[in-house]
Amino acid sequence: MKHLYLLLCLLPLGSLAQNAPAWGGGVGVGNGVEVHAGRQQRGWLALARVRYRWWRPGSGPGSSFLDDVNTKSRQLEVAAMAGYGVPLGRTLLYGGTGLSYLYGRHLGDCRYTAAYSGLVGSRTYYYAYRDYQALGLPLEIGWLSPPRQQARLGLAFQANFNPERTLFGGMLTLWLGHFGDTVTP
Amino acid sequence: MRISILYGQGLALLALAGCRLTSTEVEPALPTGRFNSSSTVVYRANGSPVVANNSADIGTFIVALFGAKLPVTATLAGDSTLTIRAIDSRNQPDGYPQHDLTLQVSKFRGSGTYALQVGRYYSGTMYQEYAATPTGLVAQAPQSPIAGAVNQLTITAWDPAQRTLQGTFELLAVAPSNAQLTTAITAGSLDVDVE
Repeated sequence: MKHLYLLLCLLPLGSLAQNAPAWGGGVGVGNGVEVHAGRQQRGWLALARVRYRWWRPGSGPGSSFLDDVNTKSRQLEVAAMAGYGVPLGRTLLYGGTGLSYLYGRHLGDCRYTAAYSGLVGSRTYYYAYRDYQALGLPLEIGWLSPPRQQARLGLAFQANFNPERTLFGGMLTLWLGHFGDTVTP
Repeated sequence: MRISILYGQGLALLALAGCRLTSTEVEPALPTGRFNSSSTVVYRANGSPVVANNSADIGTFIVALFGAKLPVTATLAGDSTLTIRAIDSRNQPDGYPQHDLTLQVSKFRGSGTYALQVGRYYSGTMYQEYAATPTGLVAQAPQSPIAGAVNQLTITAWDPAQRTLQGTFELLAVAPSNAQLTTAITAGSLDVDVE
C-alpha cells in the first residue's frame, strides 16, 4: 500500500520529466567544421553553432588545389537560433533561425606573385582582401537519425544571410545527449 | 497582440542581421629583402605592387640553354655604369599585366644617392608595361624619367667582395610618344647580385 502511494506520488513527476528540457551537443563536418549545442523542450528548440569555413579563390590564380595563396577566404560564425522540431517516425526534422556574429576575410584581386625554386618550381599568389565583422541571419534545416546509445547522426542544410558574404552549405552532424528525445510521435 | 510582438521581433532581428560592424580593405605588403634567396626587385607602379625575383626550376634551366636571361639582372660596366633590370613576366599568371623596369646610374662608386640616368630611346632608365588584353599581352609605349621629378636610386649597401647590392628607388616616368601615359614608381626596393 505504501509503495502504491509512492508510485501515485511519482507519476506526476514522471510526466514532468517527459517535458523536461533535453540537452545535446556535438560536431559537424561538411562545408566547414562546427561544434553545436541544443536544448529542446517539447517541439521547441534552442540551437547554437560555431562554424569555421575557409576556401580558396574559385577561379583564376591560386584556384588550383596545388597553388599557394598568401591567404584564403574564411568565415567564423557564432550563431544562436530558436526553432521547432517535428518527429518523423523516430527521426527528427527541425529548423531554426536567429542571429549570428561573423568574423571573416574575403579575397579580392590577385596583386602579385612570387616565384620559388624547385624541380618544377612554384608560385605564391598574393591577394588583396577585406577583413570584416558583421551580424547575419543564420538558418538551419536538419534531420536527425533515430537515437542510438544517446547519439544521433544528422544532416543539416545551413545558410547565413549577411551584408558581407552570404554562405550556403551542408553539414554531416553528430549529436550526443538527449537532444530530440522528448519529441515523440 | 502576441502576433504583432512576434512580428516586431522578427523585423528587429532582420534589421540586426543586416549590420556591417567593421570592414577593412587590406593590401598585401611588398616583400622585403631577398625573396627565395635570390635577386629581388619590388616596387609600386601607380600604386599597384610589382615583384620580380629570380628562381630556378627545370623550365628556367632549359630556356637558359637557349640564352634566356634571368628576370632580375644587375651589371656593372667597366665605365662604372650600373644597370639593373627587373621583369616580372615569369611571375605573372596569364591575363595579368607585366612590367619591365630598367634602372641605370653612371659613375657608380658604392653607397650613396644617384640620379637615374636618362638615356636615349630604349636605353638608360626605362619602364614599360605589357597590358593584358583578351588577345594577349600588348606592349605599351616605353616610358622614361620626367626631367625635374625625383628620379633617384639610393644604394644603402654594396659589398664589392660578394658583389651584392641593396637599395631603394623612385621615379616618375612618361612615354615620350604619349604624354598621357605616366607611371609613378614608388616604394622601390632591391636586393640583387651584380654580375
